Amino acid sequence: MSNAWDILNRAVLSGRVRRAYIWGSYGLGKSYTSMQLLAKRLQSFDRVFQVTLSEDMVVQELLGHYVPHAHEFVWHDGPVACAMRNGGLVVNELPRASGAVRDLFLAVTDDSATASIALPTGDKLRPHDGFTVIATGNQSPDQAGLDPALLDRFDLVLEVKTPHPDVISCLNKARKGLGSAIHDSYLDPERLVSPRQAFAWLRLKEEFGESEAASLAFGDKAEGIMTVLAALA
Amino acid sequence: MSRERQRVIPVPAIAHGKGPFRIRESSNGGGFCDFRDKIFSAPLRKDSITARAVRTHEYGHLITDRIGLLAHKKLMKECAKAGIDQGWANAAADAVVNTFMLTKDLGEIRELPLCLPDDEALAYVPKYTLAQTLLRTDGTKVRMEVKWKLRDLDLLTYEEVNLIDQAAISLSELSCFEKPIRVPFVLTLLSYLQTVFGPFDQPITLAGAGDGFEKVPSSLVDQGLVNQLSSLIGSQTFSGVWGTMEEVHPPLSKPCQKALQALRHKPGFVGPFRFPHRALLPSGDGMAFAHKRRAQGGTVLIDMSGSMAITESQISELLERIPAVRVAGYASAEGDMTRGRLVLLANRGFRVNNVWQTCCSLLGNGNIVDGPALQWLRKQIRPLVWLSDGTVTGVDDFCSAQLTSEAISITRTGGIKRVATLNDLLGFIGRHGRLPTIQDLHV
Repeated sequence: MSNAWDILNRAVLSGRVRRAYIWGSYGLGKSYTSMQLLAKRLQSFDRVFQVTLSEDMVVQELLGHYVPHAHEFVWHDGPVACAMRNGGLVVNELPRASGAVRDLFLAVTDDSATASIALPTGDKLRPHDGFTVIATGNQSPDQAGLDPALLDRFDLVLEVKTPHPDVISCLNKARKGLGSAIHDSYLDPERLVSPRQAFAWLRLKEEFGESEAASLAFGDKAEGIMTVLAALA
Repeated sequence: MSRERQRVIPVPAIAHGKGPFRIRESSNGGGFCDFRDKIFSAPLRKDSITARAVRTHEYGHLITDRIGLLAHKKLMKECAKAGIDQGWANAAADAVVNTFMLTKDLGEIRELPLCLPDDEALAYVPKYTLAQTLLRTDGTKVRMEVKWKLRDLDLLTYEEVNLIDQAAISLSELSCFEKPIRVPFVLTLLSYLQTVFGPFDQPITLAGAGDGFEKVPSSLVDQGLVNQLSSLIGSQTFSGVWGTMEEVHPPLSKPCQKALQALRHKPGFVGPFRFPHRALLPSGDGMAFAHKRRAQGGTVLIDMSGSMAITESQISELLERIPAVRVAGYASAEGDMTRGRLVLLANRGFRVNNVWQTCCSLLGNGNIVDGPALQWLRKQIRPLVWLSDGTVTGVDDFCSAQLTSEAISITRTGGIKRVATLNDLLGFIGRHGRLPTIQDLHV
């Protein structure tokens, strides 16, 4: 198992890490792995909440807002609030978040002894025991321009460079050498091939045949990939 | 379609399992991989069959190195240590790659292009370069074209082309098994090829009159030995050891009058004072001095094993026509296949009393010591002629590629001319009045 993935695995499952930022190229399985680890840790997939941030997303979408119900407005917890009360949180694309959302996460990722968010209802939202948040991104903390104060709150900042070993195994089982080819493509970041493209090829080849599916899924890299797969078969 | 869309994106890191690589688009249609500096160069056009073939070939180098089929770096390093031209190593690697990729049904390899210079310029290409080119085309469509061209232009002999074919087959057979090819085996094979084709230690001088170039001299390698080497490579019979050789000098008691007469000092007016009775005039003619007659000489070494038999009259005829000749015969020692003997049979007009009896008592039926005998021959007075059917053996009368390769090297560097039969030799002497040299292609 890749050292970075092993570290993440052990850190989260042992409960010793409550706040982690994982970064690396696209398609590595950061989000999926984070979801799986939190679900295992909390022993229920239903208690894991995932949000994918964008520049336009506002705090209310994450924390909560009032919704009309009958003749009144009722507070509705957002995914962050739900997770803080009774679950785990996976935050994707943290570097893309707006300034206001990043400020929210200063409170979300604060130490559990002091973390507290005042809701418009008057409640104080505090993280439950065992609350864990894993943030992911494609950029290093420096490249992402994360606030040093926010960065400081993460117990673990980890770079992953290659796809998750389970992704590789799954692809290798589906087609011998495919997973290894995808793994090796990440050694050359300018010409990497995402596991998503590989999964797309596996689906498309049923309809179009291997060669045409490769052109559709891998584009201009198709020839090289198919040559290597044939040679290493 | 934009220029970018017309080009593939190569993925050498996926092929090699290491990266990142620098990609260079080749402008001349060729390609190469540099494992150390991680460079991948190939034409990138999508719409070209030959460009695709070149890319597939370069991927092949990366993949064969990755799976350990042929350790490229180790092969280059060992070749450099052994004094084998890097061109041979590259040609062998290319042949292995082509075969391997073909076994994986990557038939585009067959479309690999080859740019040969025009026919006139080909004559100035060193022989080893031509041979390397032929080796590296193994598995491609152009191979037959190259083969026929080199034969038609008489740049490689039939035996030499056959040798390259056998070497390619040996490499191909190993490439199919996907087990690591042992570098020492490849080194041995390449050393045989370099023994036949070069490059040799003596540099080839290209400066000359006219347009500044002179033709590279044609091969001085014995083609019969090349033929034997081919079949031994084909049967994978490589190692062998020469027997130990003993020199025997029986008494040369029988004179050949005609030879002695030819060698006798001729009276004259210059030279050492030798005929005092002619010195005083007018009774004498004043020709009291002597000078040596110029007489044809050289050395003939005869393989006396098996079927080669030499008669008294043949020896006498040889002495009469080449008065200053030295003749020796060699074979295994009587009843012993680990040792051999070289027997001096004639020298400067004198020979053994009974050739047949001498040979029967001292010599057996095997070769055993062709190498040591040839080493003796190259130290003798030139021209040097080796009378043999071209089969060389070592201990236990065993043929091997190693021994044949050594014989080729000795004959080439020693300037030794092999003649198949004594009748052929006597026929040549009859026509030219001298022993043949290595430059005489037809005897």
